[in-house]
Amino acid sequence: MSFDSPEANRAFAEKHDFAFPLLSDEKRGLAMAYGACEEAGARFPARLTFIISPEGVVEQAIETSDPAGQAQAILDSIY
Amino acid sequence: MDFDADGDLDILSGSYTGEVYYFECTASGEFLQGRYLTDSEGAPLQAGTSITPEALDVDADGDLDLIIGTRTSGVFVVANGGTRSEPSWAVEPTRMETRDGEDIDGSNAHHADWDGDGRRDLIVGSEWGGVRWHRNLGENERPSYAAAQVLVARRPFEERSESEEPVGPGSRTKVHVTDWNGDGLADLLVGDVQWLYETLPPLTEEELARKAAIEPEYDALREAYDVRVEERNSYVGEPGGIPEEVLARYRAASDALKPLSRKMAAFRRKKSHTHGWVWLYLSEPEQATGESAADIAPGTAVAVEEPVARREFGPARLELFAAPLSQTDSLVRVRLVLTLDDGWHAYETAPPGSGYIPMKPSLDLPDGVQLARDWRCESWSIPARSGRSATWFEDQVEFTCDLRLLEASTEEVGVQVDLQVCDDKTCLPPTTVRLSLGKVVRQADSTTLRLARLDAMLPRFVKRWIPSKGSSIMPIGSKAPDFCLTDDRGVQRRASDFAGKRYLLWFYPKAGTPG
Repeated sequence: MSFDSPEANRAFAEKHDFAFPLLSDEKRGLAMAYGACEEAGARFPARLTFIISPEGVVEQAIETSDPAGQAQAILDSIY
Repeated sequence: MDFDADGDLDILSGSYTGEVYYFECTASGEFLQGRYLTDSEGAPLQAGTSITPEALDVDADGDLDLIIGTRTSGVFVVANGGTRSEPSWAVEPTRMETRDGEDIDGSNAHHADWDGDGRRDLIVGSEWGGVRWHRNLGENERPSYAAAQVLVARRPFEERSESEEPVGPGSRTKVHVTDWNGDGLADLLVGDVQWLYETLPPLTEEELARKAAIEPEYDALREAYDVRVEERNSYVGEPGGIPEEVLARYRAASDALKPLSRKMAAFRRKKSHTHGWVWLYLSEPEQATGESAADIAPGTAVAVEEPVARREFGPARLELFAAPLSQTDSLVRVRLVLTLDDGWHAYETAPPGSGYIPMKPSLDLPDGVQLARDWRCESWSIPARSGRSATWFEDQVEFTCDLRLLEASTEEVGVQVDLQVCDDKTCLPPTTVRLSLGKVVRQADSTTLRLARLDAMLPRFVKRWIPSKGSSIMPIGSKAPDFCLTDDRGVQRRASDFAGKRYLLWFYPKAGTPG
């Protein structure tokens, strides 16, 4: 999830062969709703990660400080 | 603060009506009944309404003076002509001014060394929101304040519901600077007031019936009241003022309306709640100097800034921003932002002979200024609807370039933009907009060069704001908001697509970054 265009995300996804969709929040609406940016003019979202339960409730809200190590930590917390 | 210099902490408080209250701490640690401070003639000190006081020796004469922020009438100093133990406050408060003689505004004024140069700066809140900083260009003993720079942008008013979290400080901001996390950098605490709205469940049949029963009488009384208001207002400004019998008729109509007005209010489905929040903004250490512009990763240096120059024309607005990327290198990042009203566009490319003028920025560089990186467009264009193998920009377009300052200049650094703005039916005439970044000057106290228009703008000013935890980040247990966004394959994805499954949303700064 970023403010990039779908085209920019596509290039990013193809380069790394990601197995998940990259969403394009160009209007910043979802980022503002989640508190990842303050205003529609924000240039970048804050590094935040959310886990949403099957019932549609926010289960975890994580301020990412270590992007590389975070994925494993999240997997460990779910399983 | 220790107001009477007896070694304990007293309380100094502002008030809505404008008096300054003093609660003295006694030897036993209790506070005496508050009393308001009086001027040298014995009258209560008054500088405005909704005031906040700060006691500080601004003129370095060994006693405490008062700095008073007021709701809308500005920031004042009340000089102490007496001593610390026997103050004698000036009858006339003095409006605070910048070095250039501009009045300083602020709903609350607080002195602190914001940029770490050892001098007390002035940080102010505002009735309308936001936080601004007046850098002290003088000494602590003889302060001289620069024009205001925005630390926290004022947010436009938007009606938000009670179930949503607030996204940032609201209005009537009050500020305090402290090193909150003990990392040696000045952090910012901001208090605010804001209103969130709640929509109540629809009225029941029974309630609707009760409302309908009183509505005709309410409407009649409301009409009668409006007539009396009109009548009263017609006398405003007339010699002799409002006649007593007119006032009496107005009051009678108002009294008659009140009980029904209250009953009707209970049927209103929208309810507002007043909130006061405290926001914490933590400063991050500045970027290590000496990096080239390209080395600074996106998202790490977001300057809170105001445009150096701006030009509005019809449905478009051009703004020019500039911020030093590093001090040692005198490298400046220039940003040119075009904002277009809905339905308007500017061309990125146009076929030859079409007559449309694409947007193209250029520079007029005086001796001593070098282009470190040429203009680059940071925005995405879209195919023109006119279909003529052209592309255009909508909403907002940003171009950036980097300049290296080598020597002081006698000429101004100029930016030119060729541009044509169109909607689906018409095109405004092509235009060339000229904006200026000002001259390059050598700072008096050092060998550093800077753009004159960027008075007092330091690399330390380039900060990333971290919203305080738990205040604006979506709290755990909240209902996840719905969305409909396009993914990297062009597929529309909705939150409901993931219903019944656990899913993860990862916000990353930019495609191509490590996340």
